[in-house]
Amino acid sequence: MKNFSSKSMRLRFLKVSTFALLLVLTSLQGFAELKIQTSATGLPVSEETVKAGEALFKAKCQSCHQLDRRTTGPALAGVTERRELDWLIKWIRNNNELRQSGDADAIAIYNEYNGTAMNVFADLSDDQIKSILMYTENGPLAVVNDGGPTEPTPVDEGLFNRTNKILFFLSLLVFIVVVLIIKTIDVVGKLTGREVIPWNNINAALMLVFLIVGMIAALYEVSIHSKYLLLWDSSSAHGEAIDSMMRITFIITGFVFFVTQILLFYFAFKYRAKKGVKALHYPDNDKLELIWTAVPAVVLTILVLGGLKAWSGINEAPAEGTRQIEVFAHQFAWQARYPGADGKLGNANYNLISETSNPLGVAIPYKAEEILKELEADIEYYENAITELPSKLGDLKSTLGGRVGSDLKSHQKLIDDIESGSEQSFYELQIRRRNTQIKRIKTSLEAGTLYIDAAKDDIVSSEIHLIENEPVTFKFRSRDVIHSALMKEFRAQMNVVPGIPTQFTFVPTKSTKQKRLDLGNPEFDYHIICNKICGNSHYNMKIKIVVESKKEYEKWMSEQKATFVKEEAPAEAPAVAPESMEVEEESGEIALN
Amino acid sequence: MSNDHGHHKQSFISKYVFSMDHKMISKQFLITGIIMGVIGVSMSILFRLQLAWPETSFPILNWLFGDQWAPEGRLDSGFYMGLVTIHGTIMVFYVLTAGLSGTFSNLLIPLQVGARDMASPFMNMLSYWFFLLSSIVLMSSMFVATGPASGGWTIYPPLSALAKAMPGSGVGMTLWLVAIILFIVSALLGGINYISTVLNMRTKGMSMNRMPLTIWAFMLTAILGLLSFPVLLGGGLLLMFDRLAGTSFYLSDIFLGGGVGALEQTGGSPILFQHLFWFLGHPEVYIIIMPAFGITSEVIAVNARKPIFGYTAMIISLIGISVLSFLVWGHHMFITGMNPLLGTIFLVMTLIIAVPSAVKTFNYLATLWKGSIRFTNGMMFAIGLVSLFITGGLTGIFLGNAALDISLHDTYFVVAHFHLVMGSSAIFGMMAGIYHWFPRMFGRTMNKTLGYIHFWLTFISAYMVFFPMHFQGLAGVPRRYYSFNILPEFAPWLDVNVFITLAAILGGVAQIIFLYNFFSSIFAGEKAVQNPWQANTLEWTAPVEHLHGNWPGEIPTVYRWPYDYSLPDADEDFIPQNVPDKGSSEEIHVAPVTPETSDAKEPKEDNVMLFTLVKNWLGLGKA
Repeated sequence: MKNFSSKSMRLRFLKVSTFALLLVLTSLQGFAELKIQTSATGLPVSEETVKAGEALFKAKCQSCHQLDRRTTGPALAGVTERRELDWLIKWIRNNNELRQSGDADAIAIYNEYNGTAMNVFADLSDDQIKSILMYTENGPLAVVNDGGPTEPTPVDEGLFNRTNKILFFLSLLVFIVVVLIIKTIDVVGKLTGREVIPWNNINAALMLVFLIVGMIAALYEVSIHSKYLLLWDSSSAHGEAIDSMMRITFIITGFVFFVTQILLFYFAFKYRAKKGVKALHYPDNDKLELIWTAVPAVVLTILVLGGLKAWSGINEAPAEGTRQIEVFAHQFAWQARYPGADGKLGNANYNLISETSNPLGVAIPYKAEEILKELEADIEYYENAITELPSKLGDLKSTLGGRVGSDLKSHQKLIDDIESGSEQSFYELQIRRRNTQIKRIKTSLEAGTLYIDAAKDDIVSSEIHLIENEPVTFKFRSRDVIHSALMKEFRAQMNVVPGIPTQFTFVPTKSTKQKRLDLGNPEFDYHIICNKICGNSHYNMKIKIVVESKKEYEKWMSEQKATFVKEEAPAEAPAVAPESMEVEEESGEIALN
Repeated sequence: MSNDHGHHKQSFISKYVFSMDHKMISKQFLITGIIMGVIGVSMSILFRLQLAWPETSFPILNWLFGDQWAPEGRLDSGFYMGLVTIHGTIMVFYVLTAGLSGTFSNLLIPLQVGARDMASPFMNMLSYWFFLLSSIVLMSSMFVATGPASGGWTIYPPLSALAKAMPGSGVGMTLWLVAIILFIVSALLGGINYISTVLNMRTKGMSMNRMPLTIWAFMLTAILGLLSFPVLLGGGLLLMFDRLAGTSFYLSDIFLGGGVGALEQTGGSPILFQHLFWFLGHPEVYIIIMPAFGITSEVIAVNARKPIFGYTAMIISLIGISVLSFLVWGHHMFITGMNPLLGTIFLVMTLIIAVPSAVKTFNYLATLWKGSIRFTNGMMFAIGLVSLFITGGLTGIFLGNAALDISLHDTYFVVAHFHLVMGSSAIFGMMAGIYHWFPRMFGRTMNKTLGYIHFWLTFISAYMVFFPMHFQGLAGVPRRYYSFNILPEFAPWLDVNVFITLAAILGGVAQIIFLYNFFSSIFAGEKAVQNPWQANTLEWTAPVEHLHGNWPGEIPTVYRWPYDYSLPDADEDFIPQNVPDKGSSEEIHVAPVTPETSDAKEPKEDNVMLFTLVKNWLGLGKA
């Protein structure tokens, strides 16, 4: 074990030093080296584009893809050599559509990854997609390693395999030797009629050794790891209450841990069986038992009271006018929605979600109309698909011959799905779902109460900005399954449950800058990470939180555009808005009447 | 060897396969449990490889799981979650519920209360076969095209309800639910049997206050199971409806990506499932740990040569734990956005349940005090249980505190906590039981030297694996993560993960020693004597050879409680329960006056009346 870790240490050292050398060299040369000069995307290769691509890759792709290895999705290095550019753009922008259009490659990928569908990225422009692709061609530029995890320690495979085999045979050998020794001792013991090894005393002594070594190891662990623990330096106002509660509990339980473990192993050692010593017949003692019922009860009462105080403090209803931000979760990303200038969030509904045109399902009438059109197109598509099933089946059957291996398997599965009728019933289910959705959207449009004005200036962002020392309420909403928003530095966490609104109010007390100084880590950022298993890429779902001064916040906010202003003609937007507003008001009244 | 108890010749099938003898059924449970345990533990080592060396290719993974689940020798992220899920399911239900409770309740209840067999041997047999069937169904889910259930053993909907939400929520999830439903049937059949046997079939003189603590623990466990498993059954069936029939018990307001779109279901609540699940789920952890407590109480008393300290207090704590365990389930759900007042109540109840647990621990310590401890293999595992239970129990005080749970929920702190307090502890209790009652089960003894090596390696590795996890959790490292590239802050824990994985491999190797010892001792172990540990309880008064009906001739009559160890004026340091007091007068009021038939299988007419029944249960009705 020791040997192994020292080897990996050496490897890491080597790696780091080569890295450093490379860095020095590149900085001497004054530019980062690009691996390729001609891009398959047709755009001129520049460091800038690759950097932009890298940023996009990290924001959009990294939760499911890496360059050099398969994770939830395939490895993306060299993807431009494997696929046509047009196909890639279509695929990235809306892979569902591509799959529905019967594209064989798209279906094959879907099947290869066990039916995991890729997210839709309809908001990416051609240039953005090309920059991402250029990044996949070039790989990460020589940037400063931000602490390791994105550059995991390489392990020499050969070394590893050899170590494995050697370890395996060694342990087998040790095992056989031990068994032989034991058998011999047993035989000797039986022949001489008494125990060769005084096991009782040995085990009693080992109990004591275990106690001492264990205690030292526990203290050592505390000494090396306590600097990472969430016991102090929280970044929120209520965090201090949690931290002090945590510290008190840590001390009390730590004390009890040491006392009881010492008693247990000491008793085990001290009262080991000795010749001629009889145990004490001592079946009970009411007083003693009363004491060790009462003492834990009292200590626990103290902890309960402390816990209740902290708990009720955290759960206090937010003051009127607390800034509200909607945090929206879906497989496998987060999004934030800010109320615009009016300080009020618009409504949203899952029936109004469209991956391509309204990812958050915000209630805006013109969006609703768009979605209605999309849904109708969907229905038409599925209806067509049903009528075409027989001919599709024929095609599939005629192309079955000559296929082998997994290709044959997936092809056969397509045929089976059609023949068993499951394909058709799935299409019918989709049509029924779309019809229900259309009905619901129409009803809501008629009632109108859902479509309030506040939605119009809402801002959707893939980064959360907060003002230092100002309370904020996160309103959580989930699109699909349960997620959990863990913000460890703020000592905050709340489940994000589809259909049930949840919220968490807190006051961030340390700006990102301040925290970076405190930690001595200029790369540090606050994040929300997902902490409730939500699917295959659960482990890669995060959103950055920036805590800043009010001035910085306002500057950032001024750069944000209201998301739901109609794109095609900005000049017309004001003209459209009042019109639809009127409609709403009217229908709102009707609904009320 | 008398043949006066209806010894008829049995065929191989009726003796070893479709056996209705509680001792054989107990062995069936044990061996099936051990096989499932080997699978469950191996899975944990395989997925720990991923956590320690996320970038390394392991040819063994590819060899085991093929290109679909381990392409290039690294686990697929979905299959990683599948392994985690099936590991949890196997260990919680198949090893520590059926393997532990099924084995020892079956073996010890009739033998320790003095009955010829279970109240209903046929139901008992069915219980095992449902369990086996359930195990097979669960394992078969490993081989379906979309993989096994992979939403965690708690299978929260909507993830588990929507086949398109993740591959593991497809056929694998349906099979998981079928397996659990079969399992619950098995648990209920067993549970009813255990309770009725304990209440109705005790031998003459075996009043409730003379029952060994093992029997108390098994009976209360069975009651917990009987009251809580049906709730999971209901919850599971509703989930099945949501999956297959389009109902919306747990589903509402869902839009699923990947071309599925908005679902029709409205009005359901995913949180409802969590309530139903944890209404079983929390008692379940006591269903797991209480039999281990019972075993430990017996093993410690026998090997410390002392009466268990505070017999009455031990029973009261068991009852207290049983009652309170139904009132604390909400502490698994503090951050689901539940009403803060509800959180407050669950916080208080949760910390109250720590009191009876503390009493039990102190009573174990007091039992060791001034004892004459013989370090048999069973005894060492029992001491190990106490140590692990203390460590794991103390961290429960963090998690039961709603305010602290905000930070710790679903982090490695939780993993460390429950693996110590109900995982390792219960495994140690099970091991204590296996080593202690092996002579009773198989008529031979296990090799004790191998047992010592097994104990020390297991004990050390248990701490090496789970102790560092507390620190990971306290630093906010989330559980159920396939890799930790997400935040740079998690980088320092990679080395710790390597350490833990190596320790886990050590622990796994230690179990190979156990398996070798166990299976070789069945056939070649040293022949056992009738009462190898000089214990007081009734099972050691039966002959080493297994008889159908347990005792040749009359069932022994009980004259005393089971803990008469090291009585100051006695010659020996133990007095079995069936030894009458010589000329003592104080016991007369408890000893039965009316002679009864020992054959308790024929219920007496007046037993039907509730009042008499209650009186009998309390041990007052025999006068």
